[in-house]
Order: sequence, then C-alpha cells, then structure tokens
Amino acid sequence: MKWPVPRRSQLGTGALVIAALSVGQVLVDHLPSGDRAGRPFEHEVGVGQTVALRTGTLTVTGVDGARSVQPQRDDRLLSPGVIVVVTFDFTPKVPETTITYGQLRDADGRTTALGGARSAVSCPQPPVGITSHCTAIVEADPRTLAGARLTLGPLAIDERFDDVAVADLAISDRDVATWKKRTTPLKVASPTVAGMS
Amino acid sequence: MVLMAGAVLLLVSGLFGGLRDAPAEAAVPLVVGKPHEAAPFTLTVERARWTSDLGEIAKTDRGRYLIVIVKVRTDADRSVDLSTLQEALALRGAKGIYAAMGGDKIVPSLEVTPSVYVLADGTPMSALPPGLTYELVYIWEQRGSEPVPERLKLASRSHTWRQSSLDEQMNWFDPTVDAVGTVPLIEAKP
Repeated sequence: MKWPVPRRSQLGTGALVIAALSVGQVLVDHLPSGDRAGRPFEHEVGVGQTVALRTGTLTVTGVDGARSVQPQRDDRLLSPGVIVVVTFDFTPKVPETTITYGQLRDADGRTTALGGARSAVSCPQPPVGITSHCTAIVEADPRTLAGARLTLGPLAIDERFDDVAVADLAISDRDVATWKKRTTPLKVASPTVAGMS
Repeated sequence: MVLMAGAVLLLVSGLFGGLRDAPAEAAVPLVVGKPHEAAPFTLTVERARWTSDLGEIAKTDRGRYLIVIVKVRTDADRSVDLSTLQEALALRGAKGIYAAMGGDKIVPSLEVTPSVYVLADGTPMSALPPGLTYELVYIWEQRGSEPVPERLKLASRSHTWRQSSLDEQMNWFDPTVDAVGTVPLIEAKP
C-alpha cells in the first residue's frame, strides 16, 4: 500500500491552520472569561440616596417588611420567611426604558431573582425626564436578611454589560424581628408616574 | 467508519431501551411524610386530595382536580425557577389527565406540567427562594369519565446544575426520575 505524499502547499496550509489555532488559543487564554467580561457596572447606593445610571437616575426611597403584604386590594401574600418591600424612584434619561431587573443578595451571598407573582419589580415606563415611583417585593430568609443588598437594572432578562444600582438596604436584625412580629398585612402602594393619579 | 460504528451501537442500544428514560422502577421509594432530596430541592409529600372546586383558584364541571400537598425547600445558593419546581414532581400512570388546567388536550400524566400554588395564601408559586420551606399544592386536572384513583403514583425528579450548550448560561437541567411512590387519595372536605 502506498501512502499519499502531501504537496508542499498542503503542508504550508496545514502549518498556517495550526498556527492560527494556536494564536486563537493564546488569545482565549488571556482575554477575560465571558462571565468577567459581561459583568454589569455596579453603582452603590444607600437608602435615601440617588445614583446615576446609563439609562437614568434612581433614588431608593424606603425599605419595609412583614410576613404578609397586600400588593393589590384583594391580594395577600403570606410568606414562610419575610417579604421585603423596597420603594424607589426612577427618572429615565433615554427613551423607552425603566427598571425591570432585580436580584436580592442576602448576608450569606445567596441570591433571589425578582420575577414572578411573589417576588417582582414593578416600575412604569415614563417619558424621559418624568419620574416613576416604583416598588420591588422579594421574599427572603429572615436569618440572613440583615445586611442584604438589592440590585436593580433596566433589563429583566439580562443585567450584563449595563449599569445597575446596588442598594445597601441597611436592614438590621432588629428590623427583621420587628417585621416578623407584624400581625397585619403591609399595604404596598401601587407604582405610579409622577403627576398622574 | 467511526460514524458507522456509532450508528450500529445506537441501533443495538435500541434493543435495550436506547435513549429512553431509565425505568422508574430503578428509583428509590418516595415515602409519604419522609423528606427526599431531589436536587435542588428537599421534597416531603404530605397528602393527596381530590375536588372539583378549588375556590378562587378554579372550578371544573368536567372532572376533578388531583392535588398533592408537598413541603419543598431549596438549599441552593440561588432561587430556583418555577419550571424546575414544576418538573420536580410528576404523576405516573394516571388516566385522562389534561396537559394543563383548563386545557383540552389529554396527555400521558408523566408529561403533564402541574400548576403549583402556595397553600398558605392560595397564590401561584413563582421562583423558590433559598432557605425557606413552603407548603405547595401541585394540581392536575382529570376528566370525569375516569374513575377516581384510590392512590396516586408519584415520581420525583432531580436536576443537574450545568451550563446550557445553547446560550452558556448556568441552570438546572436534565430532570431525571430518582424516586417513586404512592399516596392515598381522598376527597377534600369543603
């Protein structure tokens, strides 16, 4: 049996392909990983403070909590943990944007995504320059709630590559104990746009 | 040559079940009242009831709702999506189960996605936060021409935390039956 002998041009092409793959591998090894490169730009904010994001300004206006909350007149949520209600204002500076992404990170680093019937961000989309009064509701484990932080961003399905606000909710163990003792449901104001009733 | 060998192997494996799910009989027992680890959850099946009136949630005049009440918690480091929670418990071998509450299509019960509600407040469940234990109500709708089963056959499914091959996001995938058991079914008292 006679083995085929490659031509010089075929050997050259093969060498070029191997060189290109090697260079590609070196680049991949030295570039940041997808997770790192796609990390959102986090802007710290406290309760009562305002932060400027790419899409607008966000002010955290209040934090409260209870075992039971009433987000609508006929609705009542009852949690085996504690339900945290965060109110915030958002004023967009680009058209057709609002805040729809939310994630709670507790003192143990565990995260809860806000999305669904029980944990959610509600924020109307106002015109540029007009302020929305918004709410975020999230259920959490009371044992690890003190020290929790809430991340808020513009896009519910993907927070990567964009500005997000990271709010230190300044929740203490004393707050959590008080919230657990509440016997009546905490009423949650419906989100509104400033100037509209 | 390699492709041909692969094709032959696949054909031969078909004689033994091929790519079908492993038989549920290979799973461990799912015992009423006993916590069972089915990643990413710990499930405790408490009781089963049937009714045609779920109050404000739904009513049916074409059959009945089969209800299983389960304690569920996750000790994962992040909340777990509702879809993973729905896949965690399945009904085996029940006849005449609608694919969805209020839907018209009847499908094999193992393929039905149950509706899941929170027992304490009767609201639809969403993602399960870490560290909290919920009493959840799993609901299937059965047509009225089928007799009421005396027991429900259940299967729990565990998931694997891995990267999606499509969008490279991490999530819980590959639901696999890991335990099977039965629970007595009695009529719910109003």
